[in-house]
Amino acid sequence: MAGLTLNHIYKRYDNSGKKKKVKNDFAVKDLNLVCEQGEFIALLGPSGCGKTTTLRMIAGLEEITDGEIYIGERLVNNLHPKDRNIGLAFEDYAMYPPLNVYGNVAFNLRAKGVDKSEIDRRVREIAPLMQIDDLLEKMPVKLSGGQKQRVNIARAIIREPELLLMDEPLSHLDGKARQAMRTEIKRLINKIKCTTVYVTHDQLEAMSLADKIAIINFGVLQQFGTPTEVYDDPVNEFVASFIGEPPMNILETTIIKKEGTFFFTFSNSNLEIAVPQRYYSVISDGFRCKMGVRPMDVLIGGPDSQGTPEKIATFENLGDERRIGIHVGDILMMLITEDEKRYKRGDIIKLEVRGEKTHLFDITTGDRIREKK
Amino acid sequence: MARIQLENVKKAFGKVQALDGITIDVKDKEFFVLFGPAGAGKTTILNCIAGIMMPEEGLVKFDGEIMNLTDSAHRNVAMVFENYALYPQMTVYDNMASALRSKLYKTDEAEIRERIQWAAKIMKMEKLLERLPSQLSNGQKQRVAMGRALVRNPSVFLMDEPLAHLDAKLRNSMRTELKEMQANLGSTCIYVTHDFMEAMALGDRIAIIKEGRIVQIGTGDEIYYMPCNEFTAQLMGDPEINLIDAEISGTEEAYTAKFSLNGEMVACSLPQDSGVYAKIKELGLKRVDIGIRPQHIKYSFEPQDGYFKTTVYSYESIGNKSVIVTDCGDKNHSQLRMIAPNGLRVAIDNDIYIHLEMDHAIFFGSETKDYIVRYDEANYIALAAAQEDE
Amino acid sequence: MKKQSFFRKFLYSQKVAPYVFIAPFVITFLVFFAYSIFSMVMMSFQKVAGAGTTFIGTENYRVLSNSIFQKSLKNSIFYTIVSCALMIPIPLVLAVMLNSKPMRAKSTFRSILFIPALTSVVVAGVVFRLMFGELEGSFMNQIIGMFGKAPIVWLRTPSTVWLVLFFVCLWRWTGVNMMYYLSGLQQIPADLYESASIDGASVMQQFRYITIPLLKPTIVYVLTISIFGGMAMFSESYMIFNGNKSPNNVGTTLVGFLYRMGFEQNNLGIASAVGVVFLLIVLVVNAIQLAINGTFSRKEN
Repeated sequence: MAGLTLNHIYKRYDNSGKKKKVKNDFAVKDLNLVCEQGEFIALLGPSGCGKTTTLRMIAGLEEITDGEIYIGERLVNNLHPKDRNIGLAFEDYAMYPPLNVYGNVAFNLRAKGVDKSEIDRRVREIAPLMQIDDLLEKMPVKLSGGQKQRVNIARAIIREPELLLMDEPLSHLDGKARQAMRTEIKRLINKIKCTTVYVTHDQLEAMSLADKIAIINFGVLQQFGTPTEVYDDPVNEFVASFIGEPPMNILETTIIKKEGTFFFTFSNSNLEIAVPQRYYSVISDGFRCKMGVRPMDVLIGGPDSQGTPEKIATFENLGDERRIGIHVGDILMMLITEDEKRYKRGDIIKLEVRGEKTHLFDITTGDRIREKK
Repeated sequence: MARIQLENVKKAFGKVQALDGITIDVKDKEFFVLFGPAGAGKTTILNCIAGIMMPEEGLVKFDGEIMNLTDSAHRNVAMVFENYALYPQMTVYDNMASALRSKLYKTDEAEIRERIQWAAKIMKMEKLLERLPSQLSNGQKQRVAMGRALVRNPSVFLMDEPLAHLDAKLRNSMRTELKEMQANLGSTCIYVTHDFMEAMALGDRIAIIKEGRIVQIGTGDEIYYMPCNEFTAQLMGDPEINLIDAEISGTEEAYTAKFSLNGEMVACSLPQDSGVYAKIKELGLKRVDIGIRPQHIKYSFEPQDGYFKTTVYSYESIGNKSVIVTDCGDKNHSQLRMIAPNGLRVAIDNDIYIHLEMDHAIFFGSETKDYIVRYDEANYIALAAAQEDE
Repeated sequence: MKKQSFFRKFLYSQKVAPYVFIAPFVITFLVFFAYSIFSMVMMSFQKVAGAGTTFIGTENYRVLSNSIFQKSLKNSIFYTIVSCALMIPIPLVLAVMLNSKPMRAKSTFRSILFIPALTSVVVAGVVFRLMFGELEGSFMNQIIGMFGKAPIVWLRTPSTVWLVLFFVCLWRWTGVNMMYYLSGLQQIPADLYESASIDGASVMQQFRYITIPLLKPTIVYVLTISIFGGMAMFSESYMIFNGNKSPNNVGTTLVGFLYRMGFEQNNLGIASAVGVVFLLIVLVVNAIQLAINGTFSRKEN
């Protein structure tokens, strides 16, 4: 039994014109997702991509234009949010102002009519889990952002929902508070093992927390896979450039053949990089495509390397690592190394790329060109 | 361009002593970074240099000349603000021309146009000149703000967290661009930030500011490898440096560090190093805080010789790599962070075996938290000296 | 030439410029506010006749024992209490209705309810006076005539007089209060209500735990101005009764009495005394009300 199933979900924009205009009329288009029981999935994408809309449809706060949503075995399309057995942690915490922390956490149990002693037992059980046991008497205005978020989550999970939804819960925290809360959420979910859907635009969060990531752009699902899959095996240019910090170098290239070896060449640049052997079956002389390689996978070649010598445009020493930028036409290609050598602008180096980490993308559609097995 | 000096500058706001004796010497054409946590006083220093605020004590000098009583307009500084401060009703072109058109500069239109075109080319914003600020993205607004400063041709550029409101991708790319730009222009620049990556990447030298005082001034490498105290060491580096409370025992032939891990005392031998061993002997060190950066801890999921057992607390991606955090099991719930590749299968609360590469360790005083010595010190001192000379 | 540039330099200089900017407000405040209150207090201790003023101590304050004064005071208090009781909750309910999702034609209703506040008091007063006229042909009498009732002397019967006054007040000011509430409601984040709906809270619970607490500053504001507005009510009563003459002073308010003393009987001294009393009453009542509502307590946040 799956925890959550989305079948061919469509959402049309409100005609009241409140949503921004984008290139199609749908906020969400033909979304299909299956989330296993106990799995933590992230809905990841840039702002306005439809991830929050999808979450709200799952919660019942937005109407579904077309398609079905199942929580467990139940079809929930027409169920009121309170009958869907979900918990939702809002971005802005949504604390009821006249109630203290205890009252806020207990609110939905009280509204359901659960009896007092049971409420008390459950609140006291959850409080240490979220580290809010010493905050129970406090009023919401006196809490910090991180504390409010913990109360928010406690409130969402106290009714032991079938599905936990979180809408960018960390976006109003910064720096250390954010990192600490992220770790806390990870450990919490690990403990309670509740099926969770987490919305974020921060790919680091998604990579750290989720078992699987659903990447969405303009309302269309791009890829649904584990962090390793979306990182190492992106299906298209969008996913490749969205995941990873700093982002993947993606450059338009023309492949030429020189004395039996294929090279990537770039406009307005002398740079030539050897094409990895495994792509030989799908390319030809004059083939145009986009080459993608992550900064960590661009290497400084030794003196007998095949690469062309290039001038360093920028050199940043960041203590833990060094980042080198090289102009390739209009684009600055980045490489990251832990090599201790300190370079300067104008120094000459040779570039190589890790064969198994270099990707090809179609020059028009952006889809991944895979080697033939 | 100018040499900027602050001598023992003090400034208070009511009861709060914002600046408590700041002395800085920024060389001509230097990219100087003021780095520290929020509220440390970095913006106040910038404001005193700009002339927006006047210090109660101390001197502000431009090329040796005392500027305390000169008002901002006459100091010939250009400031780039965190919130861009663009005139909302003027086009980008007019925003950039605004200073030049003022009574102070009285530049004629032909020259204004030339300068704006030049600045726009450098900031790659030639196509934005006719737009209004409301039609620009944050990144574009930032370019305009910098372009406006460029056009002025000032003695010094003052930048107050200009990249703070940009998303991570844009921040990275603008940071790299800024570095290139400054190198090309050869201008003196004083830059405020609380992001250590910006500080290290951009600064020729960095001043660490805490609670209105200067903690350390040096090149990025100097501060990274020889931080003057634990506070500074923790600021530089993401993830943060690990600090381990250890006891030193042994003889001058072979010292060992003992510390508690998961309820047991484990011993780690300290490799031979003339600098370290001499210092331990000279100061009779018994208890120290050992600083080890996350990349110098090795891990394994199987038991190995020389590896200590502990438990996984969390595993998180930080971009191009991931961090494993382990719980030391002591009452402080202190944690150790180490680097791992992305995409591993790591189960929380499972066993993990770690090995500390002591030959990169930094030693701090247990009580004072100040820097004592580090491995390979002589090398890093030489490196820092070479950089200072550049 | 030299003088002018000095003057300009002076005005534009960094030191003086701030004062130049606040001067208009300060001058207006001093002339129209501080000076007026000061002279009112002074005049309340004087006999003001023609050209001269004589200091007569607290003799003017003997008006407090005047039976008409006391009646007008009672009228004002009664009016304030009832108008507050009507004008706080009813516009709130209307605002909540206008703010809710399923409501249609929101702008139309908003305008309809707000337009009365824009009408001239004089014209409104005349129209209402005619509507509530005592003859059979008057608008209201025609309506009750449809139900088979005899025409009522609206403006001379003590009970119906108040009905008319409250009707006018409701008509005129509901829109205004409603607009205050609407703007307050729009500040309440929508996700609070969403969270409550997921939690399964009923409409009443949402009202009690979300709407009222977050609307409190607005409610306190509306209450404060309603107390003042109620006590200061004069123009409606003046228009309805075609002058300050209601039979047996049944519709005379405190300010109405003040007007009579000051402008009709030309006794500025007594009028000032009444003014001082009025000021003190409103100040004290509002101070108590604000203190109860926690406006003066120092929050730790």
